[in-house]
Amino acid sequence: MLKSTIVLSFVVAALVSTQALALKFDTDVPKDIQDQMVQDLAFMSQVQGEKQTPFHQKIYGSVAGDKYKTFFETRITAVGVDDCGGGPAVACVQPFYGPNKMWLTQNFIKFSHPQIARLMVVYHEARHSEKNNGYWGHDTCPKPFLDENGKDKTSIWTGAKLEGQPACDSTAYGSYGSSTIMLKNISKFCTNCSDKVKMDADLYSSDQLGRIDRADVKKSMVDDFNAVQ
Amino acid sequence: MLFNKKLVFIFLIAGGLLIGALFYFHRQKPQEIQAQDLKPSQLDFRKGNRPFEGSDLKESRVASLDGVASNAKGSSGFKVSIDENATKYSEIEKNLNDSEKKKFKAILEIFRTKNDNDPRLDHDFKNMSDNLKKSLHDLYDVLPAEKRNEKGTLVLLLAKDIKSKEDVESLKKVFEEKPCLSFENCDSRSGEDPHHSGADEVGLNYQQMVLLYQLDKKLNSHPEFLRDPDFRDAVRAELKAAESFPVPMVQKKASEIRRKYSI
Repeated sequence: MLKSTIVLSFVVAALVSTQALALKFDTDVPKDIQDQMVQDLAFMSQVQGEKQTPFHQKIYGSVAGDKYKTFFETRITAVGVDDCGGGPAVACVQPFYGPNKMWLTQNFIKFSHPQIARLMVVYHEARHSEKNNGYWGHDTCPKPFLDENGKDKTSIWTGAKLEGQPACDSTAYGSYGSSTIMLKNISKFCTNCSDKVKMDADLYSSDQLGRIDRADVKKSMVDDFNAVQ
Repeated sequence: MLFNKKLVFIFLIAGGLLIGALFYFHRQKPQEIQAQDLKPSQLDFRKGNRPFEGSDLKESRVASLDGVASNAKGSSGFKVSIDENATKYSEIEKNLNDSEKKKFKAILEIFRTKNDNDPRLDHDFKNMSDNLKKSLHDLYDVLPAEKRNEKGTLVLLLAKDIKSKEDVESLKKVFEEKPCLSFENCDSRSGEDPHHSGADEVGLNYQQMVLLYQLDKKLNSHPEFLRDPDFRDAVRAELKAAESFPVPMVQKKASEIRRKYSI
């Protein structure tokens, strides 16, 4: 009687606690968006890696699906649908209004992005939910904001300069930095990812590194990527 | 007996308190969200991620479920599902044998499921027959320009299997196509988001970047290929085409590869 009472208490507690962590979709989120989000997160939750760099260890722990799952689900508990200000946005959060809710746009499924690119964006946005870290607000890109050839970093088609835009990070641990570190580690150490996933992770992380606007921080990240082979 | 009953009672109370506490924390988060459940379209993000001040709250825009699509004029292929070109795929499949057809169908299925981690991508497309390669090229040509990930996947499979100058030359078309201006319509520009514009740039030039990435990887793992003058000339021509592609990111990567291998 006593044993069964104890067991029953733990079972009920476990069930309730897992419910508390499960992702909740608003009723107006279309099924195909829900399915894609669930599928993408399910991929992340089964990632296996043999090693990780020191920065990755600090942010996520090991390259492991359960770490990525916990990281995401302790930050985002609900998902809604919105246009996130329009344009090519795929996802967003509202740090001061509802940091634990992620908003997905129709572009999440309509635009032809690689899977790891979608995941990079949602993990980037999830990082913005951390109230105790000031939501990892972005740095204003410096003026001038130059590439390694001394040319202004600009938007590809409008030519608009990135300088002065809230679209940089001065730390390795912000949203750009943390998602770059995650992707670089997946690219290097994932043991059950396809060549495509690893290539995509490398392509997109290399690009994201360009948003780190401090040379010393960027160097520390490159050193971190090379620290473990 | 009395001792056991007491223990049972204590455990029941403790269990009840634990469950109650979990329910309390479980209920609290949804209440927190509901109280401030404004959609992003109801706020002014031009002021950055800051609390909205005063009563200058924008009227809520209709969160169109079409998102950008409703504003795109003459949007072309991005809404086309993979299955809408079924008759074209049947035409392509006609000249394939059973084993090749199975692989062709596998790639279509992978596109449908959007599962980039499908193991068949790594196992089924090694040492491809000329027929199968041709079918992937034909599939590349019939897919709308907006299918960036799908076209890039085909380029990946073909580039991984490069063994001859003909293989290299067949992919030069990737650098000779028009650059894609937006995800919803490659022929026209749309709004930009500096927040993720870097990632968007990779995506809009995805197949070009994939080809350069795989070319670099191939030359790195098989430097002996460059000892064949015909192969070397083909790669040189490919990289020159990439350097002429009107996107700085692609030009830069091509130049890096040329310098790296002294081509």
